[in-house]
Amino acid sequence: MRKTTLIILLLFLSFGLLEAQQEKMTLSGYVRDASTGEELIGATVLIKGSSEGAITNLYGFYSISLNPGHQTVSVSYLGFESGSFDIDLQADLNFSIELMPANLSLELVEVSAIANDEKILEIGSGIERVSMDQMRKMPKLLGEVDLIRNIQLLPGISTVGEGTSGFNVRGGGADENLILLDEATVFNAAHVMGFFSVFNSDAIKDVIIYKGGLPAQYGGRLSSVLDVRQLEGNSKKIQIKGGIGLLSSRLTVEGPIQKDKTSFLLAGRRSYMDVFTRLSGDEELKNNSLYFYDFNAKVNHKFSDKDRVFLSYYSGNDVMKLGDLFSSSWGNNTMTFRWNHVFNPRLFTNITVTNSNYFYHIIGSHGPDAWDWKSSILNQTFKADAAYFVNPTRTIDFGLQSNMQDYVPGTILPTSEESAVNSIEMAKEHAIESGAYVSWNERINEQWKFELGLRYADFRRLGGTQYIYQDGVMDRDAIIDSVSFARHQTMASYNGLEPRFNLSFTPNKSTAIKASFHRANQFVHLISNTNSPSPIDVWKPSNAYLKPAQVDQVSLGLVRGIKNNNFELVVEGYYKDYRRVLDFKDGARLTFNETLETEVLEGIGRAYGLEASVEKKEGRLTGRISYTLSRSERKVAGINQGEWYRANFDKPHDLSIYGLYQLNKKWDFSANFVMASGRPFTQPIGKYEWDGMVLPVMGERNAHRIPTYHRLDVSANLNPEGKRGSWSFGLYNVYARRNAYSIFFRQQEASPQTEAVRLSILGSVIPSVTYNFKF
Amino acid sequence: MKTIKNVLISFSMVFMLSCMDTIELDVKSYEPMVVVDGEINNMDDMQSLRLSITQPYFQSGQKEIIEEAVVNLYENDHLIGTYAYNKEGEYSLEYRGKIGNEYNVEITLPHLAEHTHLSGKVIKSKAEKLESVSEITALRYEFKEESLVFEEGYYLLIDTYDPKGKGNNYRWKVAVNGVVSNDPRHILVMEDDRVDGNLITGLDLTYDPFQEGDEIVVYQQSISNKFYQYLFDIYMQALTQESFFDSPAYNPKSNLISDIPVVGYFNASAYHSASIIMGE
Repeated sequence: MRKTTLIILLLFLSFGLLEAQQEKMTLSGYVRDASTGEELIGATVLIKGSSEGAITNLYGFYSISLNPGHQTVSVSYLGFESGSFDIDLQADLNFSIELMPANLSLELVEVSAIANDEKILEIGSGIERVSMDQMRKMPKLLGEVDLIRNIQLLPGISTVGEGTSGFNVRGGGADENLILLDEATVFNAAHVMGFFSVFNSDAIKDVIIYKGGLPAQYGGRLSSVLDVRQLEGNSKKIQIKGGIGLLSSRLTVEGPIQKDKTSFLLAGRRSYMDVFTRLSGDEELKNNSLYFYDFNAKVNHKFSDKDRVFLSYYSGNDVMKLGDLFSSSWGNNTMTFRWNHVFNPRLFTNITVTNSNYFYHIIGSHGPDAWDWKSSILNQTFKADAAYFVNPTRTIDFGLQSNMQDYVPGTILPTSEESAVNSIEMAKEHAIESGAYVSWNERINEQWKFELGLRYADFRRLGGTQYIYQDGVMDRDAIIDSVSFARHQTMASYNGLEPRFNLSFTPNKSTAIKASFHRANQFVHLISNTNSPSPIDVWKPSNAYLKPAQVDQVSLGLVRGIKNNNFELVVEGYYKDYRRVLDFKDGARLTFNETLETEVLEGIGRAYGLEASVEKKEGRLTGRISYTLSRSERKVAGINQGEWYRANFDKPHDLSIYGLYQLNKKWDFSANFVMASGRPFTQPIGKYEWDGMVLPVMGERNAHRIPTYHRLDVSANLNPEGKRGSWSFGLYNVYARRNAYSIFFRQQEASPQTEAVRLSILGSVIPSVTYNFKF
Repeated sequence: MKTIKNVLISFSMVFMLSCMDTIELDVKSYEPMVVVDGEINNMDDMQSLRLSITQPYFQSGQKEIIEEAVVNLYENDHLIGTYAYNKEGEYSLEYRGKIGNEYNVEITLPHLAEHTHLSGKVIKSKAEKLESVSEITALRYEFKEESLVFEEGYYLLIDTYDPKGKGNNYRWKVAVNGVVSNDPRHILVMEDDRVDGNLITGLDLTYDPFQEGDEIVVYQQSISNKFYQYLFDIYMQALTQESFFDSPAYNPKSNLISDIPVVGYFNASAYHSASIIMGE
């Protein structure tokens, strides 16, 4: 017995020694687009004959530790021809790969066994990647390729109605989404009140949405992260592309300043409704204006494969002017500086500094209530992130960030002598939001992987005035005192740990079962009591009374590749438990209110659902069917007698079907069909006459629902051979469905009888034609 | 107030592809409530108050009135008198309100055959102070031609002033040839938060332009903070529900107290009036 034990121990020792003696080598580098030099985010790098593999990170970088010797490296990325490379690994190797974009061959692209299995490989769940190529081929409203409109076709993502800014993820509010453009925060990503987004598709490289299992590097929002990355600029050759549409035109110029080292990108888009009004012979019409624009700029320089810097800029604006009566302008400016540094093949770092500014300016210039109203939010962030590839099975991500926030809620000034308005300047608000995180990614064996993260979030509200309320009664009439804090004094502070966990079980190469948990805090709140966010809504940092909201989300899902992963089935269930969510007292006065805490009510919430989708990825016909079954509810003392009520964005059923058919090299056709439950609304149950008016008696909050929404869009894209231009034809809302945005109630004219009226925003079929060019 | 109206309506009119049509809806649950509609002022010799019962929202037909209720008026907690029943749910009392006094009513419902659970119940209003109101210093009009923003016609402008000290709120009623609009979107109220202590010159009170020869009487009335909020809530909901920026609807906060469901308001106001004939 003793002899057997000794032999076994010796065997273990020798195995251990063998392991120690077989030193691993690191294969690392970037995966890039061979035609433009752009790094590819989320490309799959696999080692044939083993379970080793990696997915390129947000900067297109990968790192894999391997045994020395001959290896075959297979690389794939959707929309590109897969590559297979033989290497002899005898030392750490910097191996950057370029993939060619897939040509428009009539034959089916050979489906590689390793293709399209990103969702199976990655540990996290609730992650969606948007294909820009696919987005360009999909039907469009007025010819505009729109990111926010397109992501609503994904399971778990919806909106309260047509033309509303903001979107809802897994039953969360529109302010619960962290929207990043090259890592800078965007507060309002909407043009024309939400019909279009601020993202010019010609300038975008990659879009990732995290609906759950938020990685530890992200914080500050409860429901999702929409991470949009701009193109770096073609490092191989000068390229000009653009389009002319019914609503707007766009032009992009990109190219190398120094080939394969320095490149730039300039992209602009502008609508031109105002151009037509200015051409009018009517003097009054000439004095009106309505337009929006976006301008994206980026320059990057590669010092070496170890060092690269990027500088990107975005500016966008919406302008509306009604003669001399009224004018408004709102927009975003963002700037990002980034430095990627590879210390060694196992340690990748990134330093980012961002500046973002959201502003609006409204002028009402008529009569005694003429005024000039300005408001803005300035956000400055420093971030340092690192990824350390410890060994073949373990990666540690860590980092820290700090975000300075300045809120200017509003200044109103009289604009003329006849104006009776007194100047008002709302107190500016300042805050610092910081975070530090560590995330341990481990591959236990061929089947089990996990990602265990911990984020520490810290928030400090600085300076300002804090009101003291008698007996804690939150009413303006109950103010008994106030306390002033100097600019750098902390008025209120909050901090907490946010655990993040993702677990993946892959019994085979086509199946993954995933579970995730994340806790997140949100320290800034969108103060809006309208069903849809408006450009004049205010963002407010937490203070002594407005406490941060918090959510815990768990999810469990299955990813299954079928027929060599050409089909992908995803089923995922989630549950979200909210604490300290805000809602507003009836009739809350939210504009120019220095005591907003008196208008706000705090409560709890819950959202749960099941998402299912089937996607076909290859072949002439591709597409996806997605269905979400869900609920989103709130419970707030002071609303609905303290009982649970449906959130404004509760949508129990949401179905999206998308298909793209590549007929030949010249023509492709696509169609969308969407069907969703109408949003909840509060219906009158009675009426009465008071002071000569017929007024409603409102029933339970959100107890009713507007009619079901459904719509079909189609498009056809023509790419003439040998030409530099292409055409896109589309019909939005093919059968002219009058989808209700809202239902309102009124007395009939000249009669005491009351009626319900359906308001539809886009109640007719809307054609579009766009000419796109590229050379 | 017009500030917010301009902002919201302008934002909503950006995309002109919207359309409206009527639809059929059912009311799933309904509970009748008592309606109290009354005011005390310093202008009229006879003060009136109306009592009725709410109806299901889509029901047509005459409103259900309450007859033979006992309605008492209190001034600074002292009983002043009992209203006499006239007809069609209306009660009246010969009395003129005095500035600086607080007023409230107490109503005892009669036996109601169709609503026995409401019979004999008592409704009280919270006291409202009858505050003074500044005068209309001038009434003017301005004729505008048809334009993108304005319809052709006469626009009514008033000059008045706001005394120093916050808490002065105003409501204007505009009688056109003896008729006051009953559209809740035409409620005209203002609080003095932004205009405290200032002259108010050329305030536009036009919701639909007037015609030449229209006889206009403007009533400027003082209203309490709570009554301002009540009227403003009715106005904003009526206005924004047809726009992108509607809020979840709710019942404005009444100043009536009872252990039965009750809606409406009993307010105390001082008045000043002025008149003008358009085009003269």
